[in-house]
Amino acid sequence: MAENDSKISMRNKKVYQSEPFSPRAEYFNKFTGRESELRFVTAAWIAGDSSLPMSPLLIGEPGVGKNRLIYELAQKTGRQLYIFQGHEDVTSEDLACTVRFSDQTGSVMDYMISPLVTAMYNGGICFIDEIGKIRPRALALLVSVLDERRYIDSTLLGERIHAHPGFRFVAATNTADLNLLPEFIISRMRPQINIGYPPREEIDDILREQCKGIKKEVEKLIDLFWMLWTDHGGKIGAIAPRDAIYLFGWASKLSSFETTGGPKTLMESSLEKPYQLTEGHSFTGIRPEHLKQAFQKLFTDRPAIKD
Amino acid sequence: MFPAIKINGSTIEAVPAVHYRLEFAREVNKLCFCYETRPEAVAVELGPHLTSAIVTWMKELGVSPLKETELPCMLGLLYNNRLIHPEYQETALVLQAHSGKPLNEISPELRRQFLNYSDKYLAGLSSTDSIFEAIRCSIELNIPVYGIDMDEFSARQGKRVLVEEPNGRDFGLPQYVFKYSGIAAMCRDPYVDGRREYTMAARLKSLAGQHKRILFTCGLAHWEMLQKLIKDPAIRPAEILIPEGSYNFTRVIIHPRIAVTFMDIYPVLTTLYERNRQNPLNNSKDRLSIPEAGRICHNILEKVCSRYFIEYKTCSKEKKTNYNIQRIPDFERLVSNMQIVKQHFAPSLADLIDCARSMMTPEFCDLLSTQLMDIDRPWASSGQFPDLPMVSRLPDNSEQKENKVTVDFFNLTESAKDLMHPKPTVKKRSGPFTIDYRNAIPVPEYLLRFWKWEDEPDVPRGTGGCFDWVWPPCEALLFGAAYEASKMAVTRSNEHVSAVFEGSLYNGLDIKTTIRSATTGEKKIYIRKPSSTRKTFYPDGKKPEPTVFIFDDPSPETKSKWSLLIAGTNLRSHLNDKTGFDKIVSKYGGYFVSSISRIRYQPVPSETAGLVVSYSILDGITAFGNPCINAKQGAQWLEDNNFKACPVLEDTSIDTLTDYYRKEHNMEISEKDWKTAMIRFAIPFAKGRIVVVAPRNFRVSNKLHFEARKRNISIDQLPLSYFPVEQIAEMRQRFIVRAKDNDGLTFPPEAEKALGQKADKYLELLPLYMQQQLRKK
Repeated sequence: MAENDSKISMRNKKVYQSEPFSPRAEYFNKFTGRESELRFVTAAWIAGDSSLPMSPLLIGEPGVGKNRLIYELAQKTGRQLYIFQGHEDVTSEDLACTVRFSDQTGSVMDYMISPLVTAMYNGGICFIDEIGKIRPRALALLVSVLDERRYIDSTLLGERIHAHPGFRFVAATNTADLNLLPEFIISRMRPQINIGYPPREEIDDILREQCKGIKKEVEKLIDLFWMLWTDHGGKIGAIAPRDAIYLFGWASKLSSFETTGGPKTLMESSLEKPYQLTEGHSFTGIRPEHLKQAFQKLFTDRPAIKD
Repeated sequence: MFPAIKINGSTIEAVPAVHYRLEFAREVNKLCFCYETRPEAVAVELGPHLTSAIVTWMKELGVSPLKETELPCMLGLLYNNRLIHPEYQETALVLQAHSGKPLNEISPELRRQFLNYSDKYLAGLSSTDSIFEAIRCSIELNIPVYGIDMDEFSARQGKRVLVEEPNGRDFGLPQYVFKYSGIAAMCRDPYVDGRREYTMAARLKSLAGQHKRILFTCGLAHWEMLQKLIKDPAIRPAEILIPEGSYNFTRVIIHPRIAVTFMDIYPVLTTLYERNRQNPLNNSKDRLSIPEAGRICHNILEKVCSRYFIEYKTCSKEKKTNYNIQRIPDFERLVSNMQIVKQHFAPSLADLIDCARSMMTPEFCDLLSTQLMDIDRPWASSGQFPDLPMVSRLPDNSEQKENKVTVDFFNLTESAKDLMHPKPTVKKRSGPFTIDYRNAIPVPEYLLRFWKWEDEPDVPRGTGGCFDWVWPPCEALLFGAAYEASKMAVTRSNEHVSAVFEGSLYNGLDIKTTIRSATTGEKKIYIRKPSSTRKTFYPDGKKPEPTVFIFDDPSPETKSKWSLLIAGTNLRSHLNDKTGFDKIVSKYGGYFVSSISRIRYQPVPSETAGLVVSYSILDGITAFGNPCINAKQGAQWLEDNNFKACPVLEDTSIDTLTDYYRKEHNMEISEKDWKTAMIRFAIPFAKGRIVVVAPRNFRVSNKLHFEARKRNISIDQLPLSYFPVEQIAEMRQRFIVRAKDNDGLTFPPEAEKALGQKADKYLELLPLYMQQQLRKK
């Protein structure tokens, strides 16, 4: 079997592989907490000659960090991560292989193997995000991958692809979509791991990591954030990390906006002297007012958690 | 050889320990048992007051030099906390400034979350902890015991470090301490622990002047620093000066769900330790031998699997789907993989349950919890210690139970024996408070949430106790009438019909039909006309609609009260979909409200006294559809309707109910206008309509009709006069009777005699499906 960049040869067919996902360091801070969940997925993936790896299903509310957990696991286990994004229009064959018009002269169509098949072929991790959004009939093809057969049949390709021993599978769904998953998939996806909101300390660590440029002020800002949050009716810690990160990100942008001169500079800007949209130093000039403003926009202008 | 320090000709032999692990308790026992190492005095890492209180209590429990005793599992001491860690000073100031309140007025939940402050500390008298073993040995050896730590100190958020699990037979204390005391010291709090260690070192030095051989046991994390401080000549010996005043230690029974926090990895190890442990003065040469944790785990799993298999073999065909035998090997593999990942010799209780929850059916999880909590002897209970209050965790029904974001609240319950009941019943409850455990990491509440303790004190009778049920004929008559009403009430269809325009536009032009008419050459204008047909409902009893009865408007002097009845207290065991139930319970609470009524309490008729708990007259009732005559029927109804047929609450107060409607259905319901409230309570749970049975002059307001229409349901009225006066009078009566069982399945024959009717009277009035629910065995 010859290999040339993303193009590989399967029997007599040239097929294109899906690209693995490598998180860009600048967009991802240090991973914090989630030790128990990391251990759980790792334990499920441990396999040997006589035992197959399990296929965990992560269940949790949006923004709690299900995907981030998998990125971290891929890094920790040193495997390529192939992500398949679930949605309502996924067809059964999309899970295995698709075709496209070829860019090559002398070739009419190109085979594109899905992230799932690429992971199976290379021994990487396949992560199906939002699996609950995929229609049940489209998931039927997954059955043979998740049980002891460990292969997938592609009608389009006319091939049966067997999983590499290093292949690992994980999927995630929002809690609300769990009921939409058919029993034949649910029964094969074990363990089911609930990803809850992280405890306060973990959120605090995430925010500290994000705002490491303002070590002195960050503790007060974090305290203020939790107080605004509890005033709003939230429980301490019961917030998705994504929301907390977004809040501080917004507060940072408000501070940058102010630093660059605010509305006055924006109004005076023109084609000749454009307003700079690039943020110089993120998360450094946040003051309590920025946090309050951002909080108000993000949370207070939305319905309160409690009356 | 034990870790030891020699000072001024005295030897301090130490057992630096991982708390609550029996390997260290065994080392203490061994040290006291062996004549050569037997100490003259014992020093422990506890405050002098607490130590003294424990000594006194242990003596009262029978610990003495003369005999072998078994410590109950588990008792504890509860005492107040006054200190906040200085690390939270800034936060405390910000919190006060932000809330505008002094600290004592800030909610305990916020104090716990922001300042890591708990109202009380709980010390569990754990047999497998080296400190309690040392105190016990000192009493048995009749030698002095000194608490050399500070009695009061604050706590910050604990740090955890990874040290090897002490491993049964191969365990060697000196090697273990040598390898891990440095790592354990990394979790020290330099401020608080530094002060404590200074105090302990100074007091140990003073004790060394009084006794030649001292046994000292403390947490492993303190040992390195203590060694340094004891050797430091700058630390002067200090007497243990006991300050005046009392710490008000409250002796308590610790609820088993909390007690597991103070135990070795499996609760049964405590019993095994107790049975193998010897009084140090005993001349027996048998060595204290406990099976390894791995073997105990194996035994536990073996028992669970064999029971699971027996249950599977003996259950009915329909229930077989609740069992998944094939998945057991995968579960066991996950457990052993967890051991590898966590580097444990044996999986912890939490790991076992977590793995089971993620792999197996609820039935398996139930069996596993039951087996894990089986300590081969009874847990200390109110029956055994009637004078002691029990500290237990308040049920937490918040949404994020498994997500570690809620603050645990506790209370103390005092129980007493009731002549009519073999188990003690709760007589008094304290207000909620927060607790910090000394040296223990709590086992998450959700793990043992569904474990049932057979000695759990019952809630008081007469206040909705679990044996108190509405007398079945009352429910059958009322719900039979509701069924009758739902067949009789008329609903005008809201659907439109297309009609040729003849002068009135009614609901406007029907564009589609008009175009269709034009294309076929008819060229007529069509309008949308309300259908005058009646919509017919065929209630089958499976998914019943809510019915509201409004009987009377009591005069202002006669005060009626809200009363919320629930579908049952023991529903889970009658359900197939336990997972679905658990999800709803963890999200909303455990009380499924089957009806909301306005009642006026009446004196219980003398002939029924002792059998009838209460007697009341209904002024009105919102019945969500099913009488829930017993827990089986309640469970069936909930399951048939995917647990969406009624409000689900954390308790049965009207405030919680209105909060629920506000939060879940965006409805502000005023209790003042109770008739409107009754109808509004029904709106979110109607699938097509609500039937209101009310006096002829009662008018459902347009606002209510509008609110219902918005949800695509109708409110149909039936005059109360449809039913005979005598039947109405009987329908309004509600007798709460004490059933013979928790599920309301059987009633004492005396009740039938006293009330003058059979318990199955009027059941024939119910829809066939509901009757079948009651006939199911």
